[in-house]
Amino acid sequence: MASYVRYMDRTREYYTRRGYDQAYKWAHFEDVPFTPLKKPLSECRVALISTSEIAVRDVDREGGAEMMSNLGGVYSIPSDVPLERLYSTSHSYDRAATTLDDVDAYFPISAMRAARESGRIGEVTRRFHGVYNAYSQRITRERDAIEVVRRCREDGADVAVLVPV
Amino acid sequence: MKLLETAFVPRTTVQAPFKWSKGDAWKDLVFTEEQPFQTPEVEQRWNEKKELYKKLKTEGKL
Repeated sequence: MASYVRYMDRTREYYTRRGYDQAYKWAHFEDVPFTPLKKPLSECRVALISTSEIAVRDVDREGGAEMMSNLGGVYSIPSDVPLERLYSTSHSYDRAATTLDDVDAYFPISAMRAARESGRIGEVTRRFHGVYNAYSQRITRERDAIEVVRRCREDGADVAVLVPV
Repeated sequence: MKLLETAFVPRTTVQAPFKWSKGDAWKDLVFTEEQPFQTPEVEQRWNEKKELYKKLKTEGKL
């Protein structure tokens, strides 16, 4: 039994079998910038960024359905929303193996709050951010990533935890 | 959290110690003909989104 899923190989093979003649081109960067923490984590303000299509019950998200479906984009939610009011609108997950019931599995807000309470981190930013999944790597790279960084800086984030789904 | 403190080069990875309580069988099945990732309903919606994306791109809206 495999110890891990060769996700890229599996998806490439799957869509090839389905008749797609061009393999998906995964984003790849030859050079990745790196910045070590400049102060202890216990003094840092931490942001949370997710592609889990997280939403707050009874609250409209920025952008609406078209952004979510096609245009991509960035939205933010207050970081103090109670866990029970959060859910995901995602359809892209393995329904045979899991559910979206455990919000903390894809948007670890309880762990962030526990880290703050224990002093493991200094504090959390006033907003957490979501990025809609879009087809365009260019839009993600040149527009959405830049907007996320802008919002993080606006909130005084020292560091961010990214949870890709 | 520990990774934020201990990584000293880009692309550093760690493996979480957690195990999926229902076992590893899903790893063999995911993205196979026996267990496709999407239900037919979701796949149809995905194809509709893809066609809309192509249309918006053709119209210069993306």
